[in-house]
Amino acid sequence: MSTRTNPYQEFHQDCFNAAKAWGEQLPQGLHWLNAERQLGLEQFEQMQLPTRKTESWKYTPIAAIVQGNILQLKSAADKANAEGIKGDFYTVTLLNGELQSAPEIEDAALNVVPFANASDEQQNLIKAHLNKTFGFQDHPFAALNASTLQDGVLIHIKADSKPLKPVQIVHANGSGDEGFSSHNRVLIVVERGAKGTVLETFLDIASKVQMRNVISEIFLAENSHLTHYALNSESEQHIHTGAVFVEQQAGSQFVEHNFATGGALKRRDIQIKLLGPQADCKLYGAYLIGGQSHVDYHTAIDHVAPHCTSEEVFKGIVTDQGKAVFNGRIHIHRDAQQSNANMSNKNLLLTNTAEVNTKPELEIYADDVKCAHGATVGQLDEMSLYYFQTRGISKADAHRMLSHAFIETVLDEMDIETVHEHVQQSAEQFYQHCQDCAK
Amino acid sequence: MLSIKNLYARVEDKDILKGLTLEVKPGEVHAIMGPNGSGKSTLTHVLSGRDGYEVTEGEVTYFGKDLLELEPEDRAREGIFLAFQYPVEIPGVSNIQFLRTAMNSIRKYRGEEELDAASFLKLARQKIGMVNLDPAFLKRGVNEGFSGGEKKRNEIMQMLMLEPKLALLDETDSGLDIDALQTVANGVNALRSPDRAVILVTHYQRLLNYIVPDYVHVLANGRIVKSGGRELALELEEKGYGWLNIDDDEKSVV
Repeated sequence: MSTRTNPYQEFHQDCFNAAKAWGEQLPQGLHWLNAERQLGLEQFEQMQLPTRKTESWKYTPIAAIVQGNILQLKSAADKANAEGIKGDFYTVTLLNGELQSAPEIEDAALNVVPFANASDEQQNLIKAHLNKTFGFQDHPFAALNASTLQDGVLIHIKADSKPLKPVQIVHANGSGDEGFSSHNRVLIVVERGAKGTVLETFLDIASKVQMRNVISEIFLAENSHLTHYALNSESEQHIHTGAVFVEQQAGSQFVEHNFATGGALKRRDIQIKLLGPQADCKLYGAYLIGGQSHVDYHTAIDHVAPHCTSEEVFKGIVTDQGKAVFNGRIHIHRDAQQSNANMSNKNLLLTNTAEVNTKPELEIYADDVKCAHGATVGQLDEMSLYYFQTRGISKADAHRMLSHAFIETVLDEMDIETVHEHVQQSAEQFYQHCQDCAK
Repeated sequence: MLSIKNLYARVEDKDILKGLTLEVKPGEVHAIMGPNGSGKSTLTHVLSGRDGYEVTEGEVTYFGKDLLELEPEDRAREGIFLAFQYPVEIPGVSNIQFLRTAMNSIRKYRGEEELDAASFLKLARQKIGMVNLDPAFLKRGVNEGFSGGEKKRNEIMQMLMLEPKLALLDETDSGLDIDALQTVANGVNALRSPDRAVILVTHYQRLLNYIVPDYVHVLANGRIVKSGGRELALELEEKGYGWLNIDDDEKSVV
């Protein structure tokens, strides 16, 4: 064995140094936020970064991130490089992690504020929830995010109320910036009986290497309802690590829509804890991966309380040298009797060089539960293609229509029409690309 | 219109067609009968160009063109239509979307204007009525959850929309009750005209009571062993295939 420092250790050290230096040059902000950052830094220093031998990172080597030269952290630039989805939303832009402009939102049901501008009451709310949903050791990039914590955005939906519009958070970087990372933080607190929708859009147009490391913590109080969108359509060289950590109380409902195309590397962790009876979550995902892109969805649903339901459907199409990883875990705790959990992951592999690694995992410690899971990797059905052709439809068009049919069942679950149209357009471009490849 | 000469074809290294010759002229209806495994379905798939159906000898010309050189979609655009024995279910693609794409692909190939949505829908509603299917079927996924009879009627409906010059019907009558059989036959008869031809592949004589063929051929062991007029089908019904000195193991039951 070589005694040279391995690249992971080196990268770990470099990350730590960068995070530390970053913290030292920050202006003195909120005392408790500094303390959180310091805690994150200590945790990050002590942990081990995952290697290829780490099961949860087996198919997504962080070596790709190591090579990305993204250690430089940056504060807000002057001009965002991306706009969000057009629609009837309260749109706020996080530019390099900082809230670009204080949004003028006049909605009695809603507060959207940067941590730094939070009122005392809001600060208490943030303190009570920040960094509470995940273990640092299990989530190295969440720990890195915590160790660079400077600011974030709080979305607070008040009890028994419903904002007039969905909130859209646009995660953008400065135009022309390259070789750097931003560590964004979103905290969503949905009070008892409230109902709302939050979109997070990641829509870069820059061609330079950038990394974005985003954590969204979401709390649903009793009988509340939240629909959350995570729409990733980054440019080719972009690296994205992100996590959504959700805690649900009794009777709450959480729906999440994931959509991903492009990007050098995307790793998203979604963790949902069903903590009170009759909490319900629905998780949908569609990924369309071509070129050299790589996407990795790791989901974990914890049925902690009894009588909860979860439904999870992820579908993907992978072509060229694209690579997709899906790992879905359902954990039914001992007291979670009468749980009902369904999970499915279906993949279409269009070329010999494309790759899919899918792994559904069930851990069940209660005896009265209903659980089902399934994973498939296949190709477009030859007989179906032939059927189209015998009706005068070209093979290329048949490819496009069958791909669309495969994915649309997931996209169709999106309940905001402008968003549905937006992702359909992205998807159409992807099918067009596949169609050109099939010629 | 269609001229098949000494056709040999194999599927997965198994020779199925062994020197088949057939001549079809506009306006004619040919019924092809024969025991299971004689190559009836293979013939229809070779004509419509299915992958894996390899022609090893012989030739097929269609309006003077070498048919075997054409892609399946171009054969369809040139006017060949295959009604499947087992129509494929395509969840997520509606019947209407499917048919409209098909129709416009064909029109485009022929240098015709695409049909606008309203005219298309009007036409589709008219044709679906001809096969006694509820217009609601237009919005459903192609054949998705259709019964056997509904699938066959949907095939005929597609045929009526696309108005082929040469229709190949692969056991379209199998699994149909008498009402559905009549509906299917009416659909085919509606299409009959002096410039169109039909090749009916069937196990049973009974369809031929409704679609009266000009010629009946017996296909056995990859070749046509006997041809005749309509009366040949009746003779087959009466005597089975035994009197033709062919392998009678799996002769059809009427």
